Amino acid sequence: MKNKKRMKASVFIRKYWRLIFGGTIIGIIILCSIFAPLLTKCDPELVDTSIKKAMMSPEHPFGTDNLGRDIWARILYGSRNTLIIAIGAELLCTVAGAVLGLLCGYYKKVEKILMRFLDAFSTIPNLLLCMMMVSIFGAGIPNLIIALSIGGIPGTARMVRNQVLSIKEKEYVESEIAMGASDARIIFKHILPNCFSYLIVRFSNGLSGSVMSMTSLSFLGLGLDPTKASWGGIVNEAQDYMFARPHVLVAVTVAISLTVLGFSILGDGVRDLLDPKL
Amino acid sequence: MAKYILKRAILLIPTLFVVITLVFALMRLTPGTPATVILAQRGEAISEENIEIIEEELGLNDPIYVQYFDYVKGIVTGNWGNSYFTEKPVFQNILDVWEPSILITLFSITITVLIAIPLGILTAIHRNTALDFIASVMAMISMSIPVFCFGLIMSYLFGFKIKIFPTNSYFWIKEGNVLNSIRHILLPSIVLGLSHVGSMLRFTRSTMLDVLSQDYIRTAKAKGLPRRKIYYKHALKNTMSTVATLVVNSIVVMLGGSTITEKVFNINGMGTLALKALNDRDYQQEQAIVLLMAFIFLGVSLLMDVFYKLLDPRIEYE
Repeated sequence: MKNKKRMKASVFIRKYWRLIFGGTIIGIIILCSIFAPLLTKCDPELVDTSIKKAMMSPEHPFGTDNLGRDIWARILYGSRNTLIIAIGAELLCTVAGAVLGLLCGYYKKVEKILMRFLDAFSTIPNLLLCMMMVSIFGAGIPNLIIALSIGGIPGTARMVRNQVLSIKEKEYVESEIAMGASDARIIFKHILPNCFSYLIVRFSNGLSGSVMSMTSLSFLGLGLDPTKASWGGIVNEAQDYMFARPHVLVAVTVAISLTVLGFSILGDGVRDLLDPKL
Repeated sequence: MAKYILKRAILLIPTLFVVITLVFALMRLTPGTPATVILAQRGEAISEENIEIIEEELGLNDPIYVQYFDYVKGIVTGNWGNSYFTEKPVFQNILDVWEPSILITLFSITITVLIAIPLGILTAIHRNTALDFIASVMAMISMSIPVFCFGLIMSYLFGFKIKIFPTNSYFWIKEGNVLNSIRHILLPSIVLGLSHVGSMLRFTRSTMLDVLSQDYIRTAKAKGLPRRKIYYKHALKNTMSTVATLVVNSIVVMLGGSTITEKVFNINGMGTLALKALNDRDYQQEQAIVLLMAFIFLGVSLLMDVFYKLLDPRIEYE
C-alpha cells in the first residue's frame, strides 16, 4: 500500500514537474515580496546622498544607486508592484476578453461591430498601444493595470468567441434551446463552464508576457512614479552607471528573468494539468 | 485570383476606417496639450491665455468633429499634417529617422529565422534527444530575459569589456560608408534577433510535430519513402506556411517595439520619435507613426493571405 502511494507521487512529479517547479519559483518570489521588510532593513525610497554610489557591503548587498537608495531593497519592494500589476492586468484582460468573447460568440449582431473594433485594436503594435494607454490613463497602479490589459483583450475575446461558437453547435445546447431555456441559463450553465479551463490556461500563459510589458514600460519611464521602486525603473537608472557597477544590472535581470521564467513554466504546467490535448 | 485580392482588399476598408478613428480618439483622449510644450520651447510663460493662442493656431479649438473631418480628409488625400514642433510634414520626420529602425528589424528577423527555424525543425525530428533538451532550455532563457536587460548586458560585454562593437548611437548611411552603419546596428540586431529566437523555435517545433503526426506523413512512411524526403519535402512545406505567419508577426512586433531597442543603444529612430511625440502630445506626429505601423500590419497580413491563397487555392475568405 505504502509503495503504491510513493509510485503515485513520483508519477505525479514526472507528469507535472512544470507545475511544481514553476509554482516553487513564483511562490518564493511572492513570499519575498510579502516579507520584504524582513529581508532588508532599508527603506527603498529613502534618499541619502551621503552614501550614494556605494559598492557592495554587508548593509547594502548590491550597493546603492545615484541617490543613495539601497538597491537590494528596491529590487525586493519592486517585486510588489510588478506582481500586482502583472497579475491584475492579466486578470482584467481575461475577464474583459471573456465577456466580450461571449457577447461576440453568442449574439451575431454584436459580433459584427465589436469584432471590427477589436481587430482595429490588434493592428496597433502592443508596445505602442501600451504607451498610448499609459498616457491616457496616467501614472499609478490601477491605471497601469487597465492600460496593460487592453493589448491582450482582442486575442482573448477572439479565442473565447471561437470556443463559444463551437459549443453552441453541440446537441446539449440545442436541446436546451428547444426546451426554451433563457440565454442567461445557456451562457452561465453550459457555455461559461466549458470555456473555464481555456480561460485559466490563457490567464496563466499570459502572466509572463504581462510581467515583460510591465517592466518594459517602466524601463521607458512610463507608468509609475520614478521614486517608487520598479524593476524596469532600476534598469533605466542602471543604464547610466552600468559601466562602473554592472552587478546592479545583473541583479535586476536575474529578478525579472526568474519571474518571467517562473510564470511561463507555471503556465505550461497549468496547461498540462487542464488541457491534456495540447 | 484578382477577384480574391480585390474582395480581400475591400474587406480591409472598414477595418482601416475603424483604425483611423481609433487612433484619433486615443490621441484626443490623452490628457494635456501640445501648447504647454510649445510655450516651454519658445521660452514663453505658460499661462491660460498663451495656451489659448497656441491652441487656436494649431486648430485645436475647433469643435472635435471639425478636427476629425479635417484629419480624415488629410489622411485620404495624403496630407498627414505637420509636426507641431518641427513644423515639417510628419512623413518627412519619419523618413529622417526610419533608416536604423528598418535596418535593425530586417537584420534581426534574418538572424531569428536563420537560427530558430532550422533548430525548430531539427528538434521536432530528433525529439527527446540531447539537442532537443539543450534547444528548449535555450529557448526558455531567450524568452525570459527582457530585451532591454539582454541588450545592456551585451553592450557591456561586447562594447565595453571586449570592444568589438561600437555602442554609441548610429551612423547614417549617407554620412559615411554602409559598412560603418551596419557595424553600428549589428549588436542591436543580434540582441533583438536572439530575443525572438525562443518563441519562434518553440512555435516551429510544435508546428512541425503537429504536421509529423498527420495521416499523410504516416502514409508516406508506410509506403517506404526515405525519411529525408518525408521530413524535408512533405512535412517542411506545410510547417513553413504556418511559421510564415509568425515571421510576419515578429517583424511587426520588432518594428513596434523599436522604442526599447533604440533607447538601450542610444539610437535616434522611429521608436524614439514615437515616444517623444507621445510625451510632447504631438498629435499629428504620433497619429502618423501609429497609423503607419497599423497600415504596415494590415498590408503585410493582406500579402500573407494572398500568399496562402497561392499556396492553397482551396482557402476561402469568410
